[in-house]
Amino acid sequence: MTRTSRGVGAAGRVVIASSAAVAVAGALLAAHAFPQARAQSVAPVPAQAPTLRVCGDPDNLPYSNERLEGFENRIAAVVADELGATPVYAWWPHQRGLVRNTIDAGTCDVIFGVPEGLDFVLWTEPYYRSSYVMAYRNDRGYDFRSLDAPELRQLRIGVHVNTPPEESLARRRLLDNVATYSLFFDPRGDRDRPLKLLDDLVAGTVDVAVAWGPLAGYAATRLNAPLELVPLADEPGVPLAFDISMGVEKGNEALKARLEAAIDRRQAEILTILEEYGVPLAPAGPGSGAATRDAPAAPLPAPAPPPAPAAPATPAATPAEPTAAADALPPSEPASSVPAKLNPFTGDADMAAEGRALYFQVGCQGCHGGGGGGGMATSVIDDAWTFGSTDEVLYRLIKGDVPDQTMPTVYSVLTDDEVWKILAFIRSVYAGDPERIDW
Amino acid sequence: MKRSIYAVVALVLALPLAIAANDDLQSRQTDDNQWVLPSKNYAATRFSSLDQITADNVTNLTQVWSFSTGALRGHEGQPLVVDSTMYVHSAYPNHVYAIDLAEEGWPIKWRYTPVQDDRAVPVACCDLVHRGVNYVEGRILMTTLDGHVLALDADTGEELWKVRNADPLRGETMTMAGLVVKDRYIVGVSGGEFGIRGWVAAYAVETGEQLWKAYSMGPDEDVLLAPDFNEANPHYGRFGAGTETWPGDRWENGGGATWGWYAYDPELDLVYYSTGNPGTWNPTPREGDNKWSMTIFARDPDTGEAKWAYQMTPWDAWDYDGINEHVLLDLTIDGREVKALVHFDRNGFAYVLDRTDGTLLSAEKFVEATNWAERIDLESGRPVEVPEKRTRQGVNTLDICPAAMGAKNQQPVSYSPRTGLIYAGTNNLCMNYEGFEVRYIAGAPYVGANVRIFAGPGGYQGEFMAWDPEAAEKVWGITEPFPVWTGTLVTAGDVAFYGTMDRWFKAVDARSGDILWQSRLPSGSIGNPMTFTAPDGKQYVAIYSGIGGWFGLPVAADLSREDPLGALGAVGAAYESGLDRVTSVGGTLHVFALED
Repeated sequence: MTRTSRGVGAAGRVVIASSAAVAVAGALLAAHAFPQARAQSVAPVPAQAPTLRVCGDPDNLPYSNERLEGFENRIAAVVADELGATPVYAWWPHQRGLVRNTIDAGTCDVIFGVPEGLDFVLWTEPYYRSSYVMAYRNDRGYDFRSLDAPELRQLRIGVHVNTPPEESLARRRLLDNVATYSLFFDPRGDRDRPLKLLDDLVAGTVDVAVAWGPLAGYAATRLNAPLELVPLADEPGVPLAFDISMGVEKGNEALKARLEAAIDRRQAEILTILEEYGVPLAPAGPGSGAATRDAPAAPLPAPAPPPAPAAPATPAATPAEPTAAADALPPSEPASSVPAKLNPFTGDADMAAEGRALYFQVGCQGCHGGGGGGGMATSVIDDAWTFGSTDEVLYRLIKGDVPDQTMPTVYSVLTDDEVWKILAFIRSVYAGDPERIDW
Repeated sequence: MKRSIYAVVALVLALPLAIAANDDLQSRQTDDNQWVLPSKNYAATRFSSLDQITADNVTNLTQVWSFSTGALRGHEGQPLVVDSTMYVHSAYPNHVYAIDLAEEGWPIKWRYTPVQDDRAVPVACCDLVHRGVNYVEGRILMTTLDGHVLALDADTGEELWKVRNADPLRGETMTMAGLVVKDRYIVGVSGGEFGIRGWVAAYAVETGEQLWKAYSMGPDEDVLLAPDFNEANPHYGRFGAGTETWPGDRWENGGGATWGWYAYDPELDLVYYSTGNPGTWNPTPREGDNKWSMTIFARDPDTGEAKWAYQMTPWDAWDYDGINEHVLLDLTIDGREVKALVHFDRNGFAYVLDRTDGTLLSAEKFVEATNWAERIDLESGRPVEVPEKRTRQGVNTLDICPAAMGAKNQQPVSYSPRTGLIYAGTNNLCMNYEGFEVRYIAGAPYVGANVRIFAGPGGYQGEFMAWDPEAAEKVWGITEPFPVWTGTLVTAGDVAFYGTMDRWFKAVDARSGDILWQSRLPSGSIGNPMTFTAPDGKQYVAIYSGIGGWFGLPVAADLSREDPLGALGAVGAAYESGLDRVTSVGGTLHVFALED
């Protein structure tokens, strides 16, 4: 499952359904403070002529530049043509403050290259989908198909800092081999451009680069770098492929509809441009497509109801019709509306004792306190429950399956039997209002 | 369009500014109008020669300026003052503000908040504190809770680079200030309660490139031992000890976090820091010395190689997390001039070592109640333990002093060359401790002990004391109802400063120990007092308020009173002493000056 990081919007970061700082579509994600060094310039608008006011990045190939050499510039021209308009650019770097300083300031109407999840704007349906890729020199004799290739442990891997694949590498404990690069650069030239990663790959400074597909594809195709690109598939909790849309001001449904009509009619030309720039296209993902993309907080796949233990560990445990309860629970219903007693061990002192031992063994005590009273995490003995109190909610929290949960999502390794025992212990030390017991 | 990829990049390649010996920082650290290093100077004395404020006039001290940091968790550490700018930091989310002291009213020049992965929050063991930023050559360097190291333009707040040092998904976080030495920023890691394997690493100030990384335990090539490592004291242990003193591969989750204060001797060219508790807190499954946890290290900042290492608490069974600061002093011990290192450890002993080679010169109890060991044997360097106080799995060992929070926690001491005394905030806490079996799950707590913490003999929980490091004895002390969790400051006006959890900021006669002045703060203080001269020529003294840290966490996080074992034992100790009745949360920098 994916998980959206809390507080990210407030920090001005573009996040795509992942709590890792996600960086896609080049530099359109603003993890870093950016000097407002590039003065905004609005091209003069010819009187009377219909225009499409584009919020363009003045200096960010392969996406866009002031000389209109980027593929997004080319696509903007096609779309404007379909609308019978002339593209007129307001230039602003696609970094922090982009929406605030362009669309919100009224200087332009559409941003090309918006990744799903940039919820400051209204998205059109996507006009392409790409993914992160693993890239290596095609003359090294490598044949890696995924980040799980054991050889990667001995190689130097380059990645842009705060991008989803950095997370993928961390999960594989590969960070010791990793060289990080910045996606952000300063036009005054005192920082490296994103393409530095690919340049270092060609030069052999790093052996493998994990980069956003359009960037790597541009290096391989337009800059003739001798590279092999391996697209990466989404991983649990780490999306690596993203839909790319155009973004307009929230509420501007009319422009959104016109742009979508233009995308539909000129999709073939758009794909030709993308091909020309070497953009690796990814197959449509599960959340892909206009139907599900209007809601800014991408709806999660309906959670499966937590399985009840297959068989109680001891004869003493009497399941309270766990199977029936689970069946009765509509997966998409908010859990709190359907109190359900799923745990067959609730009230069983032996199981609670085993659960207490587990509570200590696997580290619950480290945050929730030796007696359940809390610490870095909340108390589990009072009647204040952040996400709800039912068996289903607590089961899913432990399994790391609740959106926005603060608890580390590392306990999916516990068996169902262990989870239910731990919950039996927690229920046994409850000291809150008895009338609020719904388990 | 057939441009070479090289051409594209070559256009924008940075011109590296050479920071060779970093003479700038070396000279600034001796200018007491400024406060450019976290610990004031490389010797970490927290002594200032400013003397407008004296024992005679300190009663005229009054708060002249204050500033909310915008965060409400524990505020450890201290601001910096560089030329006419003050750099203020906060608890998580680690805001940074540049304050213009040259302009009337001290307005904000810029502010910065790092973007962070909030999954770091639940894996920070003991509140979301931060211990301050560093300055070098127009740059501000800092760490973030989510494990990044980054550099800002000191004039604009613009982020210059940001690299990952630690991974919160493996329980690794960062709260420390670190230290800039020459052209590199040396930092460590927190996470001793999560089964990490601790390390220190050096990052190029210019680019963020990692220059070296030295683990606290493991194979010698990971620990980076110099060829002459511990040559002067081979009985401390030498090669191979980083794995051989552990059962099997337990060193892989061996702890040894490195989140304390660092010091540097430019003449010897050695960086000093120490490592924390071994993981887990349950000693039974890791029988052995567990080197190099609980160890004072001296490393070459250029290569990272360890020149010497001295382990204070072998086979820790009490969580005496040894990360406390080191003060580099030239002392006379037994009639001999010594380049000394003084370290007040969590385990209750004040150590004096020869900092050239690590030779142990003295180790005395600085909190009387200390009862886990009778003494430290100076020949072997090892503690002479009290067997009944050694904890074991499945046994609740009672009345051990000090508690896991230490006879002194991270709050750094100060030293006045005028009085020859060290000024320390200490804890009078004892505990019951029971280890239990624990399973390692990456990114999950790996604690393995229940700790019940309570006030030591006398019923008070803390003390502000003056200590003679040459005689190795306490000179005077002021008992406090709560642990003294602030650092201390001492000045050439012969005034020492400290703060309390019950919201007092106090000035003490550095010679007599008389309390001369005190002022109430809005929240309890766990910060470090500092002093500087503003462009108006006046001396100022500053300290953060904002309760938190391990002891203050029950109040900072509004924890339930019902579980005395909560917050790894802090709930019992904090509520027993009524901390929640004297303070609520806060996050403010307070600046004091003499009334005109």
